[in-house]
Amino acid sequence: MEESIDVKKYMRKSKKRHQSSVSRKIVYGIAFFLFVIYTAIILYFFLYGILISLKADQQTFLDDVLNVSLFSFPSPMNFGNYITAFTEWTAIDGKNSFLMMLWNSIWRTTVSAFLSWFTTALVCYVLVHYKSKFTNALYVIGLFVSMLPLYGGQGAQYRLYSQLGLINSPFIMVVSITLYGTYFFYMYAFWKGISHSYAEAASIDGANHYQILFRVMLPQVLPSIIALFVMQFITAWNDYESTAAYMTDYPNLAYGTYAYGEISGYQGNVPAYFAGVILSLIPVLVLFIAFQNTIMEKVYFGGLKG
Amino acid sequence: MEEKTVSKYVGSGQSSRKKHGLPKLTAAKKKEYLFVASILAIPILFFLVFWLYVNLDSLVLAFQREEYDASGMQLVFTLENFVMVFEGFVTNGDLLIALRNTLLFYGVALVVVLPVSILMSYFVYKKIPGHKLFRTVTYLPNIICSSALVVLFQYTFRSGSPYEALMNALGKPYEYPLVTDSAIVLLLVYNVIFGFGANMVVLGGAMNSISGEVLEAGEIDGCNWFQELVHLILPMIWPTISTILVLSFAGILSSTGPILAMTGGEYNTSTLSFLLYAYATGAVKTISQDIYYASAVGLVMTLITFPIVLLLRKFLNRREEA
Repeated sequence: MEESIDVKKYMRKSKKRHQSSVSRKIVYGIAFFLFVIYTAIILYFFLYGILISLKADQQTFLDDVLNVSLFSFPSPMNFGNYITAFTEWTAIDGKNSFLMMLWNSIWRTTVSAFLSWFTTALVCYVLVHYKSKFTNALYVIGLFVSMLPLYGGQGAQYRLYSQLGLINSPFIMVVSITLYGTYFFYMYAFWKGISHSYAEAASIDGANHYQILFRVMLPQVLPSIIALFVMQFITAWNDYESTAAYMTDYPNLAYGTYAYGEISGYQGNVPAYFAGVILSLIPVLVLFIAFQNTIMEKVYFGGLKG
Repeated sequence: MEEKTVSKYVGSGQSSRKKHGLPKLTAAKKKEYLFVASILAIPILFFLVFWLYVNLDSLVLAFQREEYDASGMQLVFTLENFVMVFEGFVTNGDLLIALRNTLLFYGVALVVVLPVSILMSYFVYKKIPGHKLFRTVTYLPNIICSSALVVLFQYTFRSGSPYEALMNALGKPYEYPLVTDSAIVLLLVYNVIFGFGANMVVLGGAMNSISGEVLEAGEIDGCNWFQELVHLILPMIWPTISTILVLSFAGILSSTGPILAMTGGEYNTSTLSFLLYAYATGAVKTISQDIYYASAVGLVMTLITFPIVLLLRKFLNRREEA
């Protein structure tokens, strides 16, 4: 009797499993189809940009506008626009060429991303592995600052930068040194995942605090926090708003992309401009492709407890 | 209280410790405190100057305006900024429009972007065919500069674009939508199309940290995909979701999104964060810099959002505990 109930139960479960497996296949199929459509939409924008960048010249571009055929295969394709882009972007302010903006992007991004990333990593290490009332209080303040940002500080910030002579000065990079950086909670989570026993063992072996940090603990979180550096780098590379506000004398490529349209009123050489836009995307694309697995698999955070 | 702790860390002299009845610091403790101080001192100093001072100063600025007389410019105490804020909400309505748009953006992020991001993350996590490509493509807009993305988006609707071709095919008159009242709709569409990637990274990361055994057990028990997502995965990644909810609400006033590059705030597309940026920095050609007004707007918005964020967090934490 009991055996027949067990068999019935097993049969019922097995039927349910089969049904669930079929419904999963159908749902996965629909999801796949929708993902394909979404992928096509995203890739369309890049393809469109490339097509415009390869138009023969500005006149061809204007003809295509009149004929409502901007999204058309350029014939002949003018790869020379990718050379012209280097001089075309000078139209923004008459001073800074594409190469100059590229250089500004490189040094500004590297310095600001490194300062913010490095200080946040070290601060979080201390907050996690040197527990005390003081470090706990700093963490709680961090929670407060992140969740309840005080709005309207930008005016006072602008005035302070101005008083300190930081507007249009390379020294403005120092403000990237921060107690609670963009990736504070991610860093905190990474350090929490590393057992303190490694530090204790190293300490018994005679290592000092800096050796423990840089030789024992940091290598363990490096893959994860490098992913954060790449994300920070990409964010800083793409930042055009703070350039528009504070650093117009040192324009980066992101600002150039924005300002060209604003200043030239789209009267310039649009295909060459688009070639510049496409070129400006290459560094971050390469960086992302190189680190995408690390970014996608290592970056996460949990809840906010304080 | 805090000062006492700080002095403990930065290693106050032994005589002062003796005076307070504290035990003598060992050499090892001294080294530890020195190490902690060496890491934290500069970031704390920068925090005090560029966060605490800035925010306190903005509080003062909210009650000040410039006045000019024979001796030059003088800052005077006034409530005029708050009168202007009141007018912005009631009389001329520019703040009201900005508030409406801000809530629209947050609403869309909450109702459309977050749920779809969860679904997309789930299917990528379940490794459907092509999941790696889909994951990369979804994240792609996050690594592309928004000013470049905006240009590509704008040209999709400009004269000569596929949009105009579509309008012609449908026999409808063409008008560049970003210079009309439909601009806000296009901005919302932009935020939806390009908004999934950021959530997907953290949600995907959280899902990857779930033990496979739990899901296997669910599958053996005949859980379908929806039950698996709702009853097994969502409760386990709830801390991440609640963090996204709190941080995105707190962040609705701190990022301007694509507005600066897309419309410059014209055609009723400004948000509160955009207005704060524009008034504070003077970087928008149609809006004159007014740091005093920006500070007053910020103060009012802080007073409104402060309790909301606290309540939201309390509610979400309670759900997490339940």
